[in-house]
Amino acid sequence: MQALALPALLERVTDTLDPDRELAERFRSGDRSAFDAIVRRHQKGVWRMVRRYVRHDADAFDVTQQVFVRAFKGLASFRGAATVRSWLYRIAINCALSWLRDHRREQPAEIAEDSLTAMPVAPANIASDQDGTRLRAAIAQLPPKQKLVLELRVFDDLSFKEVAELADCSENTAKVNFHYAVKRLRDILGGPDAR
Amino acid sequence: MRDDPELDTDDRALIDKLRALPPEGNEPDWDQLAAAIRAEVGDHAPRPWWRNWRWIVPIWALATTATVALIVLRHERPAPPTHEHAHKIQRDPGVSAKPAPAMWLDGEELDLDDVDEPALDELDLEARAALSPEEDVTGGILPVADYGWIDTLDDDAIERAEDWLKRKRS
Repeated sequence: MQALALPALLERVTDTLDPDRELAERFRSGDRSAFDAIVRRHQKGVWRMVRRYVRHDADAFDVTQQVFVRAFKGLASFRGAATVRSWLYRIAINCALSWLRDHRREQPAEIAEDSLTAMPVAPANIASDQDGTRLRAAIAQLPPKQKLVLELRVFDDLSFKEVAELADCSENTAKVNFHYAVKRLRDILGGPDAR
Repeated sequence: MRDDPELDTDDRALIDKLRALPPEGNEPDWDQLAAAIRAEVGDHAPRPWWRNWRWIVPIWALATTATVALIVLRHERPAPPTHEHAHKIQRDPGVSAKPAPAMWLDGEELDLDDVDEPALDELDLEARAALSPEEDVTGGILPVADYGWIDTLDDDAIERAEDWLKRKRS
């Protein structure tokens, strides 16, 4: 009885850890609509992650599309060692870095063309925008590993396990990097200004 | 993250601020993005390449096992004769169903079944006495299948045997 119950329990635990597991299984068995469900669930997160690397919205759109095309081709052989989300984000990071390599010279240093067509900022939001700009500038000063871990943890809301998988390090190293990143951000922003 | 004991109040406040930041850029139309992805990947779920070949390994293993088993069994014992083989053995001219003649004496076939036992014993004793009168022969005098013993007889023995045969004829 217990022997029968244990695998079912383990499967339930795994499903809880990775809610996309069932969708991936359905896709593997030929259900095309399962992939659409994965796209709808993760396109926003993938786009936001890609957008942190790629400056233009249109480019982020293309790279996101490329991420899901790669995922579509690879999902059938996805073994489930990681969660589908962290697997997708890994593809997203690789695609974004690859895109950056290919378009290094085309990336404007400061002014993105999207900023010209972006929604005008209301006067009430000026202060918070300045605050946001300062925060983003502070994040940009972090060492690459700390920046990656902080962004994955704070903006993408990934678990430390998933962050570790994406950052190619142990869970403990991810935690340490995260705490260093937070302390360093506070140092950069200065004591009272950070509040 | 709220339960992280390593984070103090200021750390948590900073993290809350970071989380409250609006995402970079202007988010696209998600339906449009999903439609673009769908158009790009097509309507059919791809199958991993090994799915089409997943029966190859078990079939190959089964075929190999069957071949090895067949070779081992064929070498272990000879195949039983077939019906046709059995007929061939029966028709073999080298094997005769007719019984071999019992004995030839003076150019005539002698059927030992027709000769009465006492007469044979008497004949036997006489033959023994003729071949070696001084020797007490207890065993049979004629080897069943080998007449090589005749070459071992000396001239006297042959002469006595001939005399005995002459007396028999007369």
